[in-house]
Amino acid sequence: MSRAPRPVYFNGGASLSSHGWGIAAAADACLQQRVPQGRVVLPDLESEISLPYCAIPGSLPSAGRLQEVAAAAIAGAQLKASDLSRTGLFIGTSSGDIAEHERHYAAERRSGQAGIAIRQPLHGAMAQRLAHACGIGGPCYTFSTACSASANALLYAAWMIREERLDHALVLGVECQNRISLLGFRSMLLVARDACRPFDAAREGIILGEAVAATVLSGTLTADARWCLQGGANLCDATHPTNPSPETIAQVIRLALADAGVAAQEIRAVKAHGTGTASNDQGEALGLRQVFAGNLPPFTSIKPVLGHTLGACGVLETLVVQGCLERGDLPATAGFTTVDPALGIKPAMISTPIGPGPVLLNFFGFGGNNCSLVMAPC
Amino acid sequence: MLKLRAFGALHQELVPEPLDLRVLLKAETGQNFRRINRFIELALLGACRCRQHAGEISGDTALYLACDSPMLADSVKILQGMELEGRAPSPFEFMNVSGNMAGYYIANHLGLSGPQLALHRNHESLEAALELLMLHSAQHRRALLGYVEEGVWPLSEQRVRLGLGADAPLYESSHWFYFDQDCATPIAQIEPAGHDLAQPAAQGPADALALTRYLGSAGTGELRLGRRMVARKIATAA
Repeated sequence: MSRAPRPVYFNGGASLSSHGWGIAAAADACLQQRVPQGRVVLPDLESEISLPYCAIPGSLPSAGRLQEVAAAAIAGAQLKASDLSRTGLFIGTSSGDIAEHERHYAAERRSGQAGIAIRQPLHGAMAQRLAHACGIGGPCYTFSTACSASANALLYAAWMIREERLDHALVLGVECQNRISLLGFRSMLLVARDACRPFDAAREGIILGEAVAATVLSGTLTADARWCLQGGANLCDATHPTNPSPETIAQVIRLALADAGVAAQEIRAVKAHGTGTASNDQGEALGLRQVFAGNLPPFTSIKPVLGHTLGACGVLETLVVQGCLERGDLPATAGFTTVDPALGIKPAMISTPIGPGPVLLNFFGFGGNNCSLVMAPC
Repeated sequence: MLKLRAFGALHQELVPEPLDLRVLLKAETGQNFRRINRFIELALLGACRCRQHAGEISGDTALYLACDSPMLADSVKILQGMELEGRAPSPFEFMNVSGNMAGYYIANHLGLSGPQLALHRNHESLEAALELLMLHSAQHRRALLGYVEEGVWPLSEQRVRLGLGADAPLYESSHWFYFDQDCATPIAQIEPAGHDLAQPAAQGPADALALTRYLGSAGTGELRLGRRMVARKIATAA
């Protein structure tokens, strides 16, 4: 049964991605299909490895990145110290602090010590440090559901605000370059040689990227708020650890629509998870077809431009799609040229004007963690 | 308010050589689990013990896994492999350090298809999970909540890693709680304290251990959980 839950508003946002500072820069890059050409070289292995990678420009350490992006989001939302006492902190990350642990361990080894791999291993430490630095007085939560992590952070933060347990939530997606992720995805043969081409017949995998993105969700409409998070859902797909099934994807989308009180035919556009791997795109395409039948709205993947930022993609891609739609268009899926007959659907090949209305956002993670969100202009 | 229907746990002090959990898992489940790591084995053991006490776990059950240091042993092993041997992680090593993977194996084994989360808060992960479970919007009628802490060997190195003294005892544990809002005869209920308690009654693993000990004891009264929760046994329970 359809119902209209209390709305939750996006109160601005900030990001640091491979396209530099700001949501606007990343949105422009998506609309112009500017695909980064960077690579990362991993020395000190049995053989030197070079992989395509969407790195954040500059050399700010991860803790500094987090604080700067969080501070920009808080300032943009004009939260005062008194507001921060009723603000919760929700972080979604796949690799957490592992980049810092890699650096510390390597530094210890270089200095001639035996070294301890991963000192003080607390996965919630990043959130605790950030809350302290920003003066956030509400509870902290760290979600580590792989590539759906910060989408889940958005969903649970929105539910907290919907139920008036918090006034505001600072929600971050965080993913910093690390060797474990790069080498792990490579060992699974999931990294594309040169380009990410979601939904294309010749797609051959992902290109990883790093990002820190933050937004403030609030229960009250401000003059600057342009989007609201209407609802969402999370479901576990226990059929396969890494390949999502169309049935479970269709189910999580239907639950998200029900939570948002939105019918499938009202959806104006879909931001697909669209990793560019054979199995993810097939599962997602067939799942979308189950939900929308012959009326699939325009859809796209922006991972060819931003890279797959893993745990950060939930917040980053949500904000960047907002930025694109505020400019009037859903961006094309860069690199897509040829329909895969097994999928039978075609993403946006050119920037497509989208009228006002709800937008569906998909995020799927290893371990069968699927999350769909529904947002709409205020 | 959450109605607790059953719980199950494994809690053991670590000894110099690790106990083979695969043997225990095979004995308790009758199933061989291949290519999983110790953290997942621990999580499965605790969840299966909870299922044994519950009788059954409904397929629509939500699965929340709370921990302070997920997949620590394999993460250490991968880092050491890269740094000391120049070796990249194998596909299964990498997959198994993904935050959801323990939840996946439990859901797969128990036939669950509800929502799933892996979440953390420094020394308050159990409490954080309870807070989210209480959200009405999540619409969970049933939930399986676990708190898992894994041992890492050698123990001398683990003590340094955790900043503990050379003789400090170390433990590993897997505590699981099955909440069922439709249960007519819950053994306990957990609810917000109504206000933030000034001092945590316990922290981190101690919370989960304290809760299972409280539930298994003959005593009455209530148990404070972290800063914001209280557990109360229900007197009519057997």
